Amino acid sequence: MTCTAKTRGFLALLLLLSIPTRCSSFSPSLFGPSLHHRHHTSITLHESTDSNGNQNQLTNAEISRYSRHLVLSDVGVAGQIALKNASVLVIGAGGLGSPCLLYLAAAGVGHIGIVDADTVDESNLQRQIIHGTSTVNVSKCESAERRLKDINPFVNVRTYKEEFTSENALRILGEGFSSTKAWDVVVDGSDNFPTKYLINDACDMLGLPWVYSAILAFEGQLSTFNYRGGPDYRDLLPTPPPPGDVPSCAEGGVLGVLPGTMGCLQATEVIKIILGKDKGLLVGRVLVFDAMAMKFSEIGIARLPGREKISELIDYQGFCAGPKSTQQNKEKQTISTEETTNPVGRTMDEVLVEDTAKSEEYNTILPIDCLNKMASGWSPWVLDVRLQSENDIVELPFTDMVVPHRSVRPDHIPLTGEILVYCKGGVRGKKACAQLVEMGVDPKRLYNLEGGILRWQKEVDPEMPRY
Amino acid sequence: MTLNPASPRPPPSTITIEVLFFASAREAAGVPSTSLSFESTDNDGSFNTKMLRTKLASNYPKLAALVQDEESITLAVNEEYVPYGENWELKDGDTVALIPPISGG
Repeated sequence: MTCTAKTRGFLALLLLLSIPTRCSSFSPSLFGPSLHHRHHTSITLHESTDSNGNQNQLTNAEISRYSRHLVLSDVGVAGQIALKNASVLVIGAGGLGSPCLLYLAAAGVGHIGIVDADTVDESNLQRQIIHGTSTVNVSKCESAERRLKDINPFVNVRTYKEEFTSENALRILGEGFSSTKAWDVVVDGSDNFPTKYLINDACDMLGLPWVYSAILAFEGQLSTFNYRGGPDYRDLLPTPPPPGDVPSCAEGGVLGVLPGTMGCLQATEVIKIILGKDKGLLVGRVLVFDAMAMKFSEIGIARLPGREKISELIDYQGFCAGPKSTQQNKEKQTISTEETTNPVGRTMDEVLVEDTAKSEEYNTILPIDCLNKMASGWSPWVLDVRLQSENDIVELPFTDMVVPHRSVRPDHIPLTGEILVYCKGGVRGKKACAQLVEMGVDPKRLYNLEGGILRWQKEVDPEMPRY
Repeated sequence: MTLNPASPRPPPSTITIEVLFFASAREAAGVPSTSLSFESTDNDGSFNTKMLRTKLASNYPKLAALVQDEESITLAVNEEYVPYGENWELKDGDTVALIPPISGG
């Protein structure tokens, strides 16, 4: 037998009241069960679907699981069925994606997609709570899927173990969960500007709403973009900031719980969109959260007059690298290789920094060559261009000065003699060297430590900690 | 609220606004907020966001490289983003937030 959504809502309530039921009819025994009737009847229901393939009822197990939603009048049985039929794509199973995915699955969003090409690294676990120690080195898609299935086996998960790029974005967004219709809502769990613009433009082309967030240190931003013609990311930031101006979380650090807060807020927006509670959506407003001051501010944002609809996807790496480096991007195709051989948790934003640096003008030295050269008497002045907080974790023992790469100026270094510049992975060192050269320092004096302190640890001193 | 060059009454020569610094702007300024008084540099005595950017650049040298650049720091006046390319009028008592773009996730 089947029950309608309405009668099943009633049954849910009965379940909450721990009244044992038999679903066959509303017999008087339901309301006055005698003792020998006090057992839960197991009922098998036919799943029934409408013409769109949508389910229009909940099973008993779902009713039990979602009881706290079902008693909420703003969710209720109809809302829970809407969640069950909904499909949400989360791009990035990292700091933001982790809590968002967990809550979407727990809430009963029936079809969840995950895009992430990375594997779980130990340094992710401080904030990426969908993953665990047991899934270090496992692909993030797989790790996340396991956890989601454990939280809620009723959720269907589709994973994309690939980078989200201009080449695959429209396919991934457009095919949706079952390759029949686009995803209902998209969540931005990305950690770099190029991907945020890509999500924006692809969602604009397909008319999909998406929930934006970005985090750094103690601050987060949140908004719901492209919701029924509302403002989007290009109204907030029509032009990307100069490459290298904005640190990534790997470089600037992030309070672990911050993406937890922001990712939960993203999940809240997604659920409201699915439930059709659009009056209170963060449309035309950007929420700015300052965790240090524990303050939420709200900034109004309007659709820029004359902003045109996006008609095609572009090269977002080039777009965010600015006009100067587009040519260099075309010439240098070694970025991805360098990233895989030296995985230091860099994001695309940091890779861009590398592209814009004038790498050909100053010297580059491998850690092992540096060691050998020093053994034969080379004694350069050594400049650490990381943050002081990073230097506190670990440093090369012969470091003379610590100056963050953005602030490096010629008056920090001696007037004569050779300078060894190092950072964590070699990228900021390049930037610092290029900056010093631009400010008039003779490039022949400068040596950037290739691969930074991480490569030094790997190839020279394995006893040093990695971070 | 757009720039309105024709003001019926002569505006005050100095205004005081509340400035809020976020993210890297806070780091560069060294404070989370400040109360800033400044004089108009326009002949008609009006005040605008462009003028404020110049004033902030001179008051906070470390902020100078960022604040003059619209891509690097977005301004919000009384909790409304100033759209890219626009120069908004400011008046005494306004609150202006400096919100640099962030991209972490």
